[in-house]
Amino acid sequence: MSTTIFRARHIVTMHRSNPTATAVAVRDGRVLAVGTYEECAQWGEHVVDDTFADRVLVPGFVEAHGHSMDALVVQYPYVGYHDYPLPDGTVAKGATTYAGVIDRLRQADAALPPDATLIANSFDPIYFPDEPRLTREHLDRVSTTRPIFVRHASGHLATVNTALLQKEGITRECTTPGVARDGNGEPNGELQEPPAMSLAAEAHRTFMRGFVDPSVVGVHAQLCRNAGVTTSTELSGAMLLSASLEQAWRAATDQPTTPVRMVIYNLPSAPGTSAAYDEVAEAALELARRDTPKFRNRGAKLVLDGSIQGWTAMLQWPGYITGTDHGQLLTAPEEMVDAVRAFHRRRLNVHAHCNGNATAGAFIDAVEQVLAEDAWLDHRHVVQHSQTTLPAQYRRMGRLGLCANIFTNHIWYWGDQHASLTLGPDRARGMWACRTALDEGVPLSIHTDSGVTPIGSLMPMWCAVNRVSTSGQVLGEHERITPYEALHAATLGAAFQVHMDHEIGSIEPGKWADFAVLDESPLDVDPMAIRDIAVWGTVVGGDVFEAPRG
Amino acid sequence: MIDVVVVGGYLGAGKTTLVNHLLREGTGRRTLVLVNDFGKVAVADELVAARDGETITLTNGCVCCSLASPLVDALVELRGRADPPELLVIEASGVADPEPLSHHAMIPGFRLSGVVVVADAETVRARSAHELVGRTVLRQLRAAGLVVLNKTDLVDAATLTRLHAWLAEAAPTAVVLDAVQGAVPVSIVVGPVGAAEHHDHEPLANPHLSATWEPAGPVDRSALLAVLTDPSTGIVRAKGVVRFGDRPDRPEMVQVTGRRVECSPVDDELQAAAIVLIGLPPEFDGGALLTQLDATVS
Repeated sequence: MSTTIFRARHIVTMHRSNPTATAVAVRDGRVLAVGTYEECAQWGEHVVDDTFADRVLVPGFVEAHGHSMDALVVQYPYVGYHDYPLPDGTVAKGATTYAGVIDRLRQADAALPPDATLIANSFDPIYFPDEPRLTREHLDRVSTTRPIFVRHASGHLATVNTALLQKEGITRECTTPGVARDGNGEPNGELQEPPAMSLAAEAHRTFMRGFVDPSVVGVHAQLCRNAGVTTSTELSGAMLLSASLEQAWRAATDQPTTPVRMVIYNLPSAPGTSAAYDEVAEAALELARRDTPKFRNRGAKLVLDGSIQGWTAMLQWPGYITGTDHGQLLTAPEEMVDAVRAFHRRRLNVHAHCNGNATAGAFIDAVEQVLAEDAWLDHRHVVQHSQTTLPAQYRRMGRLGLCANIFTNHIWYWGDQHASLTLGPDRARGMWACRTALDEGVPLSIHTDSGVTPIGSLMPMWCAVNRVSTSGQVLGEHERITPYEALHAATLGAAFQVHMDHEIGSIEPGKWADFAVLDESPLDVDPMAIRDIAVWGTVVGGDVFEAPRG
Repeated sequence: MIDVVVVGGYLGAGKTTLVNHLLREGTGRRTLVLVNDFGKVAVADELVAARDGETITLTNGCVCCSLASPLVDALVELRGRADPPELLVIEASGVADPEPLSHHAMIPGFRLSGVVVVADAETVRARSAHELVGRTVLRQLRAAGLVVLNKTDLVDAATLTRLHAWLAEAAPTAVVLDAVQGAVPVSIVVGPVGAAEHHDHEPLANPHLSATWEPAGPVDRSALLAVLTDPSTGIVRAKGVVRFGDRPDRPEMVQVTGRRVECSPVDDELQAAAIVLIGLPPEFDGGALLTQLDATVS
């Protein structure tokens, strides 16, 4: 029963009765006391740890919408547009030109054994509106002998080189739809959608295997540690689809060297398909019985539509400014009710991917109906992403007890594209409406969708506070929130949405001793500097995890 | 080569009823039904021989299983099996668009036989105008080669006539078959057992009209496809092997569902040319049709 007192330059607790402190006592992995060193010392015999004497502690960040498949972003050569942090503390620089993409692939080519296929990840054509599509001709400049497979960030496309086309026998005779052609009818290297992508059989198989490999947990945990995240929510858990995964993931997470708690929200079925929801919810309850302090199974994730930048999220009138369509639902409204009811009845909360406001509306309707049947008022069901949710919808959400977890990173990563290509500037200013959500009494969190953008809460906080896009424009100044509100959303707000706010989310006696160790307090720096605050590492359950310096 | 039939249609239209009907009647081929609904394999109890997790084996040897992985991965696994099925029926989820789903049947090892969409005669029109799902319903109908218009016993004759007129627009490439409880001739749904396929099974009794055409030589591609998709012939379903004049070295499997044709190369160069045709009265006239088809021989 040893006690450690961590002394720090400054501690932000997010606990109203003791908002700031300079010392925190930890016993058995939990916070024993918070205050001055003298106050903490009243608990008796202790060791003093001054590792953080010059640093700031805040509650460990809680990512309430992440994916441990971000390990697959950093395990392959990275050809994304924006910088992406790596587990060793260095950063993969974004490739902002085709020449840069080719250069990155050449480096990867040089580092590979001769027979291997070169697989790269996260290429996003939306950032190259002035370039022609990426084709095999670009990739042939990297190698004419080694097969190359470049997976796009959307997961819906891949571009391959001539060597790969030849190796896999993808020729002009190929009848599979989605094999894009050049002017002569020859495959140009772009493989669109899974049937065509599967023609690149070996690379496709290699990549897909990674999704269910428990080793991703370890890599993901390192990325979390480097970003100050102490609890990460895996929001597309596949443990209901494959029960054996649960054991492997739990074992990987429960290792003392794994610096993160994992909260798993399982998919009841693959997106776009449905399930026998009562049976699946019963299985989810069974999984929850095997919870450990670091590994939790919580409820379900429903994927109800696509993405805004893929023009597949379902929007209310007037839809997308550049398309004729409005996207589509991946689950029928009647079925949303069945799905919500099955989990709600078992007191498991539901997190529903709703990028489009038509989708959010259908989900709100479903929750309203189920609530009328079964008054579990503390459900905390969540509209996830909530990128285009409208003020009237937030008013309903506030009254129904629905939460919003808003994908604020989009403001910087795709804000310019939303203003110019998807919704237009007026509606883009109303996207990610954090201010409206809070004003309407909707419990708020903000997230990274890790794998889509890098994990780490300082960036979504920076976006929610400043609302600045890549080009530097302020997109929706009236929807800004304060740094305190943003920090709350990234800690206690997120913990609330996964029903863990009694255990994590603030530095408060009785809760897990989970801290993010920072060089500065996000509440004290210039708001535009929030994302630049250096993260020293984390404390998880009282164990100190230092991030490597890049 | 595994033949694939995609069964789509909105929630509650009767897809599972239709699939159960196929399983009860038998397809005459080693069949696997993939249900795109996890944990939701709903097979009538009297057909079930064994259940093992997500897989159900039926008394007639057919197998049903529901998907736990992305469809494309399930198909890749399937084609690698030692005893792959001859016919794969994919029951789509209620909001799936059968068009992109059917593209899965065009990866190596598979060939698309047809897209069948089940529509609920009582509700399909109202659903097609629904704010949230109307477009989904219309997309499904547009992709259909065959529309099984189910629950026709629940609407009156005048409504049914109006529905057919509406479907002619909404499902322009489809033949529409009225049904109650999904009871339509199996060979129309899954295609005839091709003349070139050799089987121990007895061919199924076929209440509809049929004919077999054996072309004397390579045929003109556009002329043949024009005949096969001409509504005035009364052809509902066709399947067989031909050689086209533009590629005489390589026979192709031709499968017709309504006004939709799928052609795919056949590995066996020696395969004899023959097409089995199924049609509906009164338009279908085997003799006249064979003459029309003979004229396409180049």
